[in-house]
Amino acid sequence: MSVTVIAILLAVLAGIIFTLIGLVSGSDETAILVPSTLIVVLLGAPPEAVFAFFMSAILAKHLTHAIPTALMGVPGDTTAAPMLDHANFMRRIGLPHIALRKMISGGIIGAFIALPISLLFAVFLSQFGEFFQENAGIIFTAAAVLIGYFSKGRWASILLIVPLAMVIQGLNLVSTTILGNSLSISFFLGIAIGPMLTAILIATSDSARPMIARNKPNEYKLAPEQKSWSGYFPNPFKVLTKKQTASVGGTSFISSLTFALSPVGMTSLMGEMVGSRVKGQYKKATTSLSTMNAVTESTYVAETLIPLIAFGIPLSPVAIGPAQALFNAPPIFTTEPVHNLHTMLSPVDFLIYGLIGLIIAAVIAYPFSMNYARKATVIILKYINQEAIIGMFIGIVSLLAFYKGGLVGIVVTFSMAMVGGLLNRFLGVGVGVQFMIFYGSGWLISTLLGL
Amino acid sequence: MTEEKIDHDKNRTYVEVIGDTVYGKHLIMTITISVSFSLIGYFIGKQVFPSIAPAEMVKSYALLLGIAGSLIALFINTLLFKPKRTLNEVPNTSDELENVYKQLHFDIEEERQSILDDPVIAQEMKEQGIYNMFMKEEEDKQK
Repeated sequence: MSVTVIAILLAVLAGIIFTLIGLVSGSDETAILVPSTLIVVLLGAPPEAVFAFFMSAILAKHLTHAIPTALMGVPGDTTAAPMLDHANFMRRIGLPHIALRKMISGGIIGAFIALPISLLFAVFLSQFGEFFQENAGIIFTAAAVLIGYFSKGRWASILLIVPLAMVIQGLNLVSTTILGNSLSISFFLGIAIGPMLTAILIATSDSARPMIARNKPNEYKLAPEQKSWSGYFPNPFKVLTKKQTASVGGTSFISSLTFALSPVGMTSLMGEMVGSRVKGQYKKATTSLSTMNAVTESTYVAETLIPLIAFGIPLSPVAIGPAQALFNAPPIFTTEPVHNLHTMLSPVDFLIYGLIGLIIAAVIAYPFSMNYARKATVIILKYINQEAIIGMFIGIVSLLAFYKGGLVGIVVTFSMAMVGGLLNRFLGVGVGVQFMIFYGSGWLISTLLGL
Repeated sequence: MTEEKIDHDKNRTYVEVIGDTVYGKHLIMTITISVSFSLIGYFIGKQVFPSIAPAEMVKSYALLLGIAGSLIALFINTLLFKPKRTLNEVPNTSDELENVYKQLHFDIEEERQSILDDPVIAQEMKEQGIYNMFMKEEEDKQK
């Protein structure tokens, strides 16, 4: 089978799977994308196909995560959080389906703008790549301080950088002593599922359970659809007004040039910038929503592509989160030395296979979300229980950890998840900070303590 | 089992895990089922594939079988337990629009004016059949 055929098949697979996953509200991008990408990499897919898979996955997931956000007022994932205000307004006035149409139409335009723009910018930045690679340890530590300062934990995040780096290196030493090789997969799987594991741990502890105990099940309000759109394949440019298309285009262009800012931050910033100039609530809400969802798409694409093409080391919030496995999936992709998509693909490959991924996801997810959003949401809410979803993630993570490191792998994963998850939940030390500390920990501990 | 725990079951206390309510016991069951199916799939693969697949692919195929195991577990878990959510499909009455605006501290008159000022938005609303919902009430009010 040729590489292109595999790339197309994997992109179709990602498009279908992630269209469905996007419907599950609150599904964490990192916890889902990292293991799925890892599976594809470890199964031996060619790098071009891995990239097409990933691009298809993020676009499909982002298009459908607008569904719970708009229809239920539950953020589809963290990047959807800034959109909740406007989405809730649209839901209150009974027009969630219009909010949804605007959001996904903006999103799809944003993604296609971001791919070429961020690619060009990355090629320009790549002349500095070697500098970044050589000083990766210092850069990651500095980034941990910076991201930590802006995280919910602020000073706690910064104070805990050295202790957490110590814990990580300690765990790493134990697993390296037993197995003879390092288990970085276990660490980032652990960091990724930390928040989920912590909630489960709290539920099992008699003393902590009251924190998350509820008397009645969650209630979801879902407004009836007032009008369905005609035809199967809507035209995103017709869904948006000309002015909205212009805002979408402009903000997507700007956000394609950023790679170090948090997608959530960019989304609210751009949304406010555009929304504050619009009069009338309906117009403000629909314009902001289309712009914001476009920005989540474009920052996602840009923050994956720029570090990947320019540096080869994960230097953006998306790269240390959901796109992690494109940089580091040992033994196939590694960051030390840099041997991953950065070295394996040329900029033209990134453009071609990126486009394959985006187009396929667009063809699958866009008409699906436009036509079946409400029906699909009802089916998921009524028939798929949350326990089964959580169970599947824990199962997949255990499987991957065992595959890489046997019982040691599983224990290291859950140890990391316990530490990271508790720090995240109680002290606000975010997942991004933890990933940065993980990457900087080797340099930090050996410099400070001479390991 | 302590009395307190039995009480918990009678009251059907829920716990909230990543944004949705679940029963602790069901969660333990689904995790157990999912982890064992995934790992069993993987072990079966490691036993079976060496005789039918090239040596370097055995681990990857075994991993795939493990993933198949976790998907089967997802299916079983979906059949075993019911979701703990309630779905409330309240119909929208356009009459409530003004009330909603009041509650949200928005000015409905200003909103109407902004729609009238912008033919593009007015046209869009007409196409979607919601123009009257914004405007009809104005007529009602004038009566």
